[in-house]
Amino acid sequence: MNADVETQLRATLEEQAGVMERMDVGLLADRVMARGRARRRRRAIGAAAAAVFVVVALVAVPAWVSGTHAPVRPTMATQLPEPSVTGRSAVPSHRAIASYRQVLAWFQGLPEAQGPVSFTGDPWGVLEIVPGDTSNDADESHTVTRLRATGQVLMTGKPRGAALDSGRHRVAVAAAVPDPKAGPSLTITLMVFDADTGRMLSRVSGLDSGTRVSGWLDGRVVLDVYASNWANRVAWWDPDAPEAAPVDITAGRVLDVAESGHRILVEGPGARCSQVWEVIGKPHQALEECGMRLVALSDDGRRGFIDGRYGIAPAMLDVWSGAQVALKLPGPVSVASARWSADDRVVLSLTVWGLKDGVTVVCEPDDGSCARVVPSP
Amino acid sequence: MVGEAGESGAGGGRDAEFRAYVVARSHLLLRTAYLVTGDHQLAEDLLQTALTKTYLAWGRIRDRESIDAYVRRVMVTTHVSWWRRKWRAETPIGEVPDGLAAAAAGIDESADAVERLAMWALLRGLPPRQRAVVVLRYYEDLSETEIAQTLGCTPGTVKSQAHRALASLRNALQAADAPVVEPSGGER
Repeated sequence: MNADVETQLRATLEEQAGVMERMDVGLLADRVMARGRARRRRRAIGAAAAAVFVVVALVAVPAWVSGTHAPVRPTMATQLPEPSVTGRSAVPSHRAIASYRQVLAWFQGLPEAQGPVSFTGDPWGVLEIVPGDTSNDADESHTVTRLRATGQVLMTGKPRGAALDSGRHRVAVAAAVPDPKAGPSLTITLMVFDADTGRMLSRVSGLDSGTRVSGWLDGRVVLDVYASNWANRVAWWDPDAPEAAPVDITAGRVLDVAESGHRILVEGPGARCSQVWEVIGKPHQALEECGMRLVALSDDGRRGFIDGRYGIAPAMLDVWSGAQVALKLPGPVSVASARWSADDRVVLSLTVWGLKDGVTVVCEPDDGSCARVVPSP
Repeated sequence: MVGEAGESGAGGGRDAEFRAYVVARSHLLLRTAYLVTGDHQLAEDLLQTALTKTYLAWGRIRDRESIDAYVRRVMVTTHVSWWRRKWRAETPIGEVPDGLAAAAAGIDESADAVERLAMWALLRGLPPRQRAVVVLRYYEDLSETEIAQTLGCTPGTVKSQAHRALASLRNALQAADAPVVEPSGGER
């Protein structure tokens, strides 16, 4: 019997090993080396930080004992040096600085998270995305994650955005999952959950591989569909009619969604300018043509945050009541992404030439003051 | 193998050597990772993690002929630690198991194929350490001593783990072959 089992075992293992599809090994090597270098860098930084901590402790403790301790500095964020504002006063903000987790939650278009959120999109903890990697890599492209609700794995895949419908407490989550029928390519599955109970309300599969969830509007999920050759488009999908395919709204890329204002901020195809689209009524129409570079839209859709790199005249600010921010950073800056948070602050993810890692800042749209956010360890 | 690729120097030379290794060996290592995990995506994750750890230790691995063994060891220990830490209580749903999907697609409906699918399902149910022993022994064809080196245990432990795994599989297969007893309808 043992021999039979062993023979069957060998045949099974050979057969199963054969079904494992091939992968892009060049890409794998690049990813692995990038991760390795990042991990090495983190270790070095950690060691340096520990050394600094020891030195500071050696200096500060005797000073504190003798009653001459230094003032406490914030640890979660660092104020950028002298942020300057065009046309507004540059009074620094005294509001509490956001935590890194809050910033992540904001990027998902969610209200400020209460407590820790393992899934950056569910302050109630009903739904969580469990990283499939034990390292601290924040780069989602390297990890396969599990979407888990009430202890059960709903699916495994790479996250492609999530957003909360604050009106009806629904969470939309998209993930890239392998499709057995489509071979090695990934397709997108979009699911909508009841945020209070974790129950799945509707689901659609087989969406284009470039699809991401950008937000909610008018009870529908706004989708950003990336395609090559500037053929990006903005679409939305009605979870109450899940059998219907997503409907295109316009060409371009979603920058922000103003849920209450029924407006979408869209970067026009092939152009470095943005338009605000109103999606109430038919046909949908652009309220503002290209002319300024807005990067974020307030929830009511009436205020926009302008990327000041283009030298927008202060008069233009009247239109959107936004503020220009001139950040002093060691190199030219471009806005990778931006979000208007629920508490009326703007979160900017910046790419800075000369810096390997991006910089995240939280700005007050009223006075233009900004604070840099440092990822929590 | 990459043993002849030259001494591991600093920087670019080492990276080039590592890259050559990944390109040459990843497909085979991925298969082992899949057999150990029983899940396509988890296998890719596991291989990436194991290769990252190998990359960090690249300069310390003197014997280039033993890199495969090193990666295998990292894969097995990492998978066991993942399993212990957090994925033990999870019950995946909404996903068709890969083998069953193939069967559902009508790829091979012979009795042998069905038996192998049953065997695969049983294998996936083995504890990760036992599964690792089975994969290393019956797929990688490693000796008990080599498996012991890979798992960081004694050959005796390997023997007992293999014995337990085979016994579980045999019992499960026998139970599956047992005739189904129809309930008697006399009490109605």
